[in-house]
Amino acid sequence: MKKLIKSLLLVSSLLASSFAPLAGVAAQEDQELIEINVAYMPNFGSSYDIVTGVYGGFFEEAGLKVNLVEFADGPTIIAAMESGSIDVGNIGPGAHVLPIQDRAEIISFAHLGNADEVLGRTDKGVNTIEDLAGKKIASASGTSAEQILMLTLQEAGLTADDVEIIDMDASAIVTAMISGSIDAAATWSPNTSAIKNELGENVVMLSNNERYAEDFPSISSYAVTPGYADENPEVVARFLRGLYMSADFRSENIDQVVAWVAEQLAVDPASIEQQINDGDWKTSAEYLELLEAGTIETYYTSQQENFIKGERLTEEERRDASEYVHFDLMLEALKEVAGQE
Amino acid sequence: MVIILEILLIFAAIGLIINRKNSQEHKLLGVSLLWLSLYVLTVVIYISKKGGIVPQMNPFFFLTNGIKTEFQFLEITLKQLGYLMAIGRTLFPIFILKTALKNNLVPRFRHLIIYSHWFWLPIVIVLIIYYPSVFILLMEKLPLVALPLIRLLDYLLIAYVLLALIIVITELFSIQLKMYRQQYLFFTVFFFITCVIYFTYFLQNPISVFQFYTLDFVWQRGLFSLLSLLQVRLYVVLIIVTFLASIGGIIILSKYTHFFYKKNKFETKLRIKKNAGTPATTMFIHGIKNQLLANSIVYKRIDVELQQDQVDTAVIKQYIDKLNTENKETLRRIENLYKSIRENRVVLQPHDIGMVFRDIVKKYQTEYPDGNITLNLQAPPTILLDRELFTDAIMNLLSNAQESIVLKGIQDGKVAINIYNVRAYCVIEIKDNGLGIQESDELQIFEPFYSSKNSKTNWGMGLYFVKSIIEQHYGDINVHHQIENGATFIINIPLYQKGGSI
Repeated sequence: MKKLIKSLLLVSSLLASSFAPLAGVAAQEDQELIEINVAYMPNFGSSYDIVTGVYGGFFEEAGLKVNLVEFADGPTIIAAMESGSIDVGNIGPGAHVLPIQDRAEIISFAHLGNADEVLGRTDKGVNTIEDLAGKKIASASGTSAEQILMLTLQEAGLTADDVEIIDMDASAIVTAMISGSIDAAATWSPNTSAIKNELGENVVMLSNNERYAEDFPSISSYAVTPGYADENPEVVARFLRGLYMSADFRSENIDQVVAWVAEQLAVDPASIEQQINDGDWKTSAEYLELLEAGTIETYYTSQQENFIKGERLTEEERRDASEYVHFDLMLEALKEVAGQE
Repeated sequence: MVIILEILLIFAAIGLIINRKNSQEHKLLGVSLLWLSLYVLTVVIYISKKGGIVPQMNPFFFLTNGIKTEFQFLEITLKQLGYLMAIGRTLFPIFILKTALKNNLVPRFRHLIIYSHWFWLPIVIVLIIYYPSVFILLMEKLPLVALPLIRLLDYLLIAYVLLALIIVITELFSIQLKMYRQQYLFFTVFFFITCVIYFTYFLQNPISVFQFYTLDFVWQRGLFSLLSLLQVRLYVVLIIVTFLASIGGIIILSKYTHFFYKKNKFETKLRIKKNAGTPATTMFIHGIKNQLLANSIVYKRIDVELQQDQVDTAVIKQYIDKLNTENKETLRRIENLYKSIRENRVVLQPHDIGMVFRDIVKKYQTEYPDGNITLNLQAPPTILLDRELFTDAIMNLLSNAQESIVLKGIQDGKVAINIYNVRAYCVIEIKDNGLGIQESDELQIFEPFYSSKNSKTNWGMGLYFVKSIIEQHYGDINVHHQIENGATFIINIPLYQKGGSI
């Protein structure tokens, strides 16, 4: 009953808070805040910089009121953006097929990740990638983990027809792996950590992003719908400023960022700490350096090559990275933020 | 809150299904609710797995984070989840339509019952097509056929629910009697709320659960909570409205079922009392014995008088008259009792109700020359009657009415008979402006050996007899308590259609 009353109170407060500031967003001294919805996935890599931006007030400083919305995976975030309920979303490597297919545009490179792994249950006879033949493997379709699984099968001389791939959502994969109803799984952190913690010696990591880094750089990015950046240049500029300021804050205050992320994801800070090495996080100055050297563009080009090789894209769909990645907007914002330091 | 709604739906469904006393339409409504709850549950599980709601919205959907986590980590493949969703989404419309048809008495929809088994055909097709491996095969082989077919079947599901709503609402407006309309209003409101909940979640297509990434057609409709029309603020409002409406609906439903429960309970009580008739018969015999003993005293007095030297014939005559009156009264009561408890063999034949009632009025006027009776025939129909028994039953009511007027001691006492048609029934109202009936006596007056008149000449079998006869005519009888203005008995008898069924 208490919970019910609490929920009802929450309803009223949320109603009050959601209706009241519809038009009159709290005004800053010099600029009016613009309200946007930003999507993330429940892991450190996908959420740390935008969570820092919100909790640390960097987005507000840049002139944005950011509402955070959690999603299970990148393709769903892009679907949400197309439906109009999300403005900006963090997407993982697997979902990058969609921007190339003109379903989204990238406004910023986020990081190179190392969160995806293919795990096998040793007690079910899966010790090496070759042992995957004929096994039941769970994977969430359209994600980077599925991409790593395909590369792993390819390396083992296998195809999807040689194994039984079961399409499950990321959370169900954890339960299925622990219960033993599947023999192997392709998933990402923190799900990989949860499985390892539970199964101990009965699980082995068969492959990960790092193993295929050259062929398939595990890029994480911030995306918007096609045309959004042209129609809302001020929103994008403010978002990027807030984002890069957050990245700089993270480099000096990792403990604080871990605490904020744990609070946002409603999990134990220890589980977030386990994820702080899942990616190669950068500061604004480092981003600027990589961008000016053309390295970031190379990442996207290699990634596209890999999609074509893995038959997730056709040759006809190949596009120049600059057609779907707004390097110019990144450069402008990075110069502004990095120049302030 | 959606979780509470889910629990309420399941409880309401189980309650309606397992209650043996519930009518078939209630059980069908229960089954409909069960499919609806399956549909809502699978949508909620899918949302827990895919996300797409701001953290503040979690309590609205899941109440606690623990429940959300349980759903999120539920070990189920997307194909299984999608198909379970398809089952709930597809079976609700057919069962809700069957509920509406079963409840319907409006002639224009009654013929649909004859074809209702054909309604299953599209449902079976949907269930086959939505089976994940069949759907994937169909998309590979016949993509140009599959998608229009699915859209068409979706429209058909919507049409089923809309048709069900139209039937129920038409039924509501066709009921003219306030008492019955009020009861049916409860049912209609709950029915409407159930359909609104269904349409709210209809936007979540089961195919998108297992084909989210591969089909453009389901891409934007992939996740119910992503639809742009359901922005966060709208969502909050929607959930509150759904929640409050459901709570209201459940309360309304419980009131509605309580009415029938009360009525059923009374019927059961009646049967038990009838079965336990032996003690009452003993009472009756005891009463007769006392009366005979009283008579024997009169006989003794006659005997004493006859032994006198001078017999006073006037006194003897007085005693004989007394005995004669008592004898007639006893015979009348025995005859009435016999009528009430014997197994009446009812022979139903079509009769013009106007003619039957004109004869009844004549009989009444012969029996009560001072009585004031009016007959108002709005639509004289033909109904199936056992004329003799039916006349006895109505005369019994008219006698009660007259007795009530006399006991009230008013000069302008009147009895009115109104006859009119309502949907498939002929309604007979018998009104008087006598003493009326207490609300607490409304059901009890139909019990055998129950009388509110506390009279030694009343054995309390009259209304029990009337009720039995009316029920043998496939009708029912109810009474309106109007203590100030007398009583109104309402009898419903099915109309007779030549070549049709009652």
